[in-house]
Amino acid sequence: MGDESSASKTRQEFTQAWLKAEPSVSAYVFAAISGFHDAEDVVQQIAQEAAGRFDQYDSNRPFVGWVLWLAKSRVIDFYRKGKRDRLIFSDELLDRLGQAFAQRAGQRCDRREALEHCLEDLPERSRRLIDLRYVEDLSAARVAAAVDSTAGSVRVLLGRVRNALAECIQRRVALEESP
Amino acid sequence: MNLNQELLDRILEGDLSEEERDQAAAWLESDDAVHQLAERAELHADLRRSLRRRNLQESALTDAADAVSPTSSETPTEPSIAKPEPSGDVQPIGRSQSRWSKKASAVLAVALAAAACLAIILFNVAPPSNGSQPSIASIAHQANARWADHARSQGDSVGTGVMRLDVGIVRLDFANGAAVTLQGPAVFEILQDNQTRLHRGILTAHIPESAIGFEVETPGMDVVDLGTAFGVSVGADGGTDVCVFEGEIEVSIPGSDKSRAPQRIIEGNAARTRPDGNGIEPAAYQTERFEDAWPVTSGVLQTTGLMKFVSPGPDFVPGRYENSEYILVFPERDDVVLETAAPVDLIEPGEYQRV
Repeated sequence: MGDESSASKTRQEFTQAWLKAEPSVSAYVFAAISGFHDAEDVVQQIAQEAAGRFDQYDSNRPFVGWVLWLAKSRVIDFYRKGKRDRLIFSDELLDRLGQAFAQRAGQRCDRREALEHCLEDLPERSRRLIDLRYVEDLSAARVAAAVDSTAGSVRVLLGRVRNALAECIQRRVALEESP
Repeated sequence: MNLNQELLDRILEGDLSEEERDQAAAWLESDDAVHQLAERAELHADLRRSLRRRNLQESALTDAADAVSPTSSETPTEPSIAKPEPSGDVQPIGRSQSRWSKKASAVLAVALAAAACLAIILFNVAPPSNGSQPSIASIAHQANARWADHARSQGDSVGTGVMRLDVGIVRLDFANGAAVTLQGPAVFEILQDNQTRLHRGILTAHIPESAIGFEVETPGMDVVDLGTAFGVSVGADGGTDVCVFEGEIEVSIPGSDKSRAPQRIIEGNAARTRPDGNGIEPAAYQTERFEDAWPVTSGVLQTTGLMKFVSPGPDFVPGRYENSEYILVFPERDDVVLETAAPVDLIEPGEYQRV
């Protein structure tokens, strides 16, 4: 009975910890791997590995730091398989990026919530553009073909939408914190 | 220093020229720059998640709104104080519906984001009590099912407790995403949202990422899922067989004798325990006994005539698999969004659903 309930407690603990850390892990993997489909596959591998090795996790340290450390190895594996050029992501940069995500993890929730509000105020046309990019996972060139524009101008427009959202998030988070 | 956001996006989209690479690498020497990159990556990743969820909800709500009859479709856009209707003002119904769905789904999206943040806090404060009986799973499909204890029908929700299925095939979809198909005669028990017990019978399960850690206990072994699809069969004597179709599982002897560490079993392998045997032993990978339940778990609810759904394991090469008696159907990939619509012929009247 004792063992049974402690095993189920461990599972519950893992699920909670993973749910909380997952947005940071996803963003980290996406930063280093860029394609959403590939990044999502790698995140799934990380979830499996973290679940399998949860008994090795030292609960005195932040869980998100531990999973990001596992994530780094999976990302490097991905590069090794030759699936993507490493570009600028040296081991050292991957470490520093992981640390940055670990430090930012605390405010992750507020920022995600702010984004949901900010998306409400987005003009229809911008929303369509980011839908094509993020839901359909189309490249700038293919978004351009869909909206009858050029890849260059789609890149600029997407950049502007992201900038507007980033500013909106910043404003909302600052507002929440001030009173 | 305010960085060029465009360069950030190009780094994240893997779209840098040689020259820009050097520029980016030099710039990322500073910690401030790394933080800016992290922040931008969060935005990309969150947009992907949020927009996908919104689109799913919007299409679900639009479908629901379309199904409503024309008279009841004039749902007020806001549940505020009733305004006198200006006479003669005709509203285009289609538009108001779609606006209504958009609005409703937007509210839902915000509520969900808040709930996701809250859930973690609540979980930490209040451990789930066993006093209440929340729904853990629902019956997604039944075929020729006869229940021994009491009648259940498709759509019914199920909480903790024992279920006795005399004959037939039943698929349970768990709230955490796990899909479990039972084949009667079977006695199955739900202990909690991710812990179940198969006392007798056959089940197949598909466990997505959201339900990793899902557990099936049997009299002979405990099976913990590590992100997979597998089948479990328990005989009348309690002897248990497991077969892993995809991914991997961990099995251990119940009562957790610490001297025996859990064993990993990876796809294409099988294991068994026998009441008089010594623990868990390897077994031949044979999927025949799961061939009735497995298609239902995979989403193929019904096939007709000579069609047979197979799950021949990871070494399967379609061209080499032969069968002169049946038309074989197998899952090639899952979770794939088709780029073009797949045309379908509907040859009989009835209700059809895109799943």
